[in-house]
Amino acid sequence: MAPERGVGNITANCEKKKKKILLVDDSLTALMLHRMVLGKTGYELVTARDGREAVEKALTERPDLIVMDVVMPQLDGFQACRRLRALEQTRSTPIILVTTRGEAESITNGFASGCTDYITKPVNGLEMLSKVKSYLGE
Amino acid sequence: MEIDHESILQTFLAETEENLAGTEEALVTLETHPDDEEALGIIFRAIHTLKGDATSFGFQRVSEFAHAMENVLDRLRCGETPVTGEAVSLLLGCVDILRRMVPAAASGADETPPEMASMIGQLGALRTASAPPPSGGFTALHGHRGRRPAHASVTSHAKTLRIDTSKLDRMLNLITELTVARGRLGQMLEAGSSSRADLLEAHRTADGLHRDLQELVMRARMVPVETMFRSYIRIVRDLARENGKLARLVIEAPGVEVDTRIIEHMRDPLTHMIRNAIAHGIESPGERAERGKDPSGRITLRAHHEAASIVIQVSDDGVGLSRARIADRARAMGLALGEGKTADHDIYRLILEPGFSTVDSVSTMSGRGVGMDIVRRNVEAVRGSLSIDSVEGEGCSITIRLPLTLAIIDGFGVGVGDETYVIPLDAVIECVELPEEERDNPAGVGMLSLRGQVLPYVRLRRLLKLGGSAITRESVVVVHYEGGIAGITVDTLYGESQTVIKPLGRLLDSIPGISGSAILGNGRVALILDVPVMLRRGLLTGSGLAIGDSDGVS
Repeated sequence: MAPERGVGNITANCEKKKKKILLVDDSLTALMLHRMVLGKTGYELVTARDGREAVEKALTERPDLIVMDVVMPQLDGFQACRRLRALEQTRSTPIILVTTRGEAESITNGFASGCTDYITKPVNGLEMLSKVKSYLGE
Repeated sequence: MEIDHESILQTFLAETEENLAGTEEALVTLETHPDDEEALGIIFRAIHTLKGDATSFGFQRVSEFAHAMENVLDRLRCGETPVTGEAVSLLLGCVDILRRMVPAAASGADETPPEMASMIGQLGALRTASAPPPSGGFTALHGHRGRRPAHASVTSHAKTLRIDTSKLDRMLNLITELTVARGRLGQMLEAGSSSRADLLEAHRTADGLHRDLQELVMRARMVPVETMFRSYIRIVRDLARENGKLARLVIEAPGVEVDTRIIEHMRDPLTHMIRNAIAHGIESPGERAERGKDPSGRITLRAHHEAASIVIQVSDDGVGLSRARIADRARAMGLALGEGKTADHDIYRLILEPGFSTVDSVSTMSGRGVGMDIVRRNVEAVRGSLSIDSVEGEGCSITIRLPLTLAIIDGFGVGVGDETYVIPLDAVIECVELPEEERDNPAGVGMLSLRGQVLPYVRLRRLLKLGGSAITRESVVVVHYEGGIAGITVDTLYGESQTVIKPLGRLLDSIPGISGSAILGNGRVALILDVPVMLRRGLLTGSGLAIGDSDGVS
C-alpha cells in the first residue's frame, strides 16, 4: 500500500545498506504494530497486504527477512511460504510466521511449508526483535 | 512518520468497522447463497483478524467473543454445521455486539456485555445441531429482533479520513510549483519591466496551479458512495423481515465519490426513505405474487454524477404512490390544490410538506409521507433538491440532487440594486431578458413563457424586500426547480465565479432562502441563495422573506 511505501523510501537513501524486512498482514492494525516494534531500529520496512502481494514484493524488493501473517486473502501464509520456497530468489530468505496462540497444527503446517520460525499473537515486541536480529545475523 | 499507540488504535477502530461491514454484507449474501465459499472466507478472515488485533491490544473480552464466532465459522466452513437462516441471524447479532464492544474496549471498557453469554451459548448450540431446519432462505428468523442502535460507531469516528499518501505527494508537488510560480510573479512585478501580457500569463499559470491544488484537496475528501450504500444491505434485510416482506437491495454506483460530509448528511434521509419503501411501498410476498411480480421486492440505490452535482436515487418496485389518496389527504389538511389537473409530480411533492403524513394516517393511506419533510430538510441543508416519480402499481422513485462538495461552489453572481447575491451554478440553466410586458408587473411573482414552456418566476427585489426599482432592463435566471424550471428576476448578471461558502452566524441563520455567505473578490459579502427554499416560499405564497420568519417548522 502506498502509505507504507512512502515511509520506506525516506529511509532508503541513508548511508550504509540497511537491512530490509517485508511485513505481510491483511490487517493494517497489525502492520502498524509491527512497524512500531521494528521501525525504531533502523530497518527498511516494506509491506504487503496478502499472500500474493507478498510473493510479488519478495521478488521485486528482495527483503533480507519476511514476517508474515497466516490467515490472509488470495494466498494464505502457508501457501505464500511454499511458493517463496519454490522460487530461486527467495529460497533461503528467513520467514517468520505470525500465528494466533493455540494453533498447534498451524505451527506444524508452518514448518511443513518451509517457514524458518514463528511467533504468536499477541506479539511480544522483545521476542520479535530478538528473533529478527538473530536471523539477520546481528 | 511517528507511529503512536493512539493512531494505531484509531486505525484499528476504522479497520474493525470496515471488517464488520464486510462481514455483514457477506452474511446477507450467505443467507441467500449458503454455498458461497468466498463469502464465508471473507467472514472468517475478518473475524480472525479482529481476534488477532484485539489480542494485540489486550482486549480480552473482544478476543474471546471473536474466538467463539470463529469456532462456529470454522465449522460452517468445513460443512460440519449447515449454513442456515438461524446461523446467519445469530452471527449478525454477534456483529451488532462486536460493534458496541470494540469501541467500548478502545475507550477503556473491555467488558462482557450482558447478552454475550447467551450468544456464546446459542453459538455453541448451533455447532452441535445436526439436522438442518425446514428450508433455507425464507424461514422466519429469530434471535435478534431488537433494533440495533443505528450505526452509532460509524459516525463516532467519521471525523478521521484515511488518505492515500500518493494524493498528499501530489499536493506537495503542486505546492512546490505554486511557490515557484508565485515567486516568479513577484519578481516580475518588482522589476516592473514585464509587459502586461507576460504578467497576465504568469498570473494565469499560478491561478491554474491553485485550482489544481484546490481540486485535489477537495477530492481528498471524497469517498466512494458505494461503501455507504453497502451498509444498507443489512438494513434492508432487517427491515423487510420486521415488516414480513421480502426485499433485496441493488446498488448501482460505479466509481461515484462524494464529500464525506455529504455522506454523513445523507445517512438518515436514506434510511428513512428505505424504511418507507419497505413499509409502504413493497407489497407482501403474497400480494406481489398475485400481481405477477417477483415475491421479493427490489430496492435500488443509484448514484451518478451530473454536471457539478451528484444524483442519488432510491427506487422500489412496490405499489407506488396513490395520487387520489394524497389529494384527499391534502384537501383534508386544507392545502391548496390547483384547479383542474395538477401535474403528478406536484401532487407527489405534497408528501414533502411538513406534517403531511402522521403516524395514524399511515395505516389508512398508501402514501409514504412519514418523515419525508425531515428528509427534505436534510437534503436542503446541504443545498440539495428532491424530486419524486411514481407509477401506481409499479413503484416509486425519489431522486436527490446534491452538490459534489460543500466548502466551495461554482457560484453565479447576480445583482439587485447595490447588493450582490450568489446562485449556486449547478442550479442555473440559462439567462433570459425579462420581457417588456412583465416589467411593470407589480407582483413579486409572475409567469412567463419560455419557448412555449411555462416559467414561473419570482422577483428577487420584492422577495428580499429591497424596495426601489430596477434602472435597467431586468434579467431572468432560469434555474432547476422541483423537477421543472423556475425563474429568478434580478437587475444585473455578474456571471460565474468560484465561491467559498461561509456559514451564516446565528443571527441570520433563521432566514429561509439564504444558505450562507461568501466573500467576493472586492472584499464585500454576498449572500448565497438557497434556491429551492426561496422559490418554494416565493412562488407558493408570493410573500417576502424576513428575519425571524420561521419556515413553519421548528
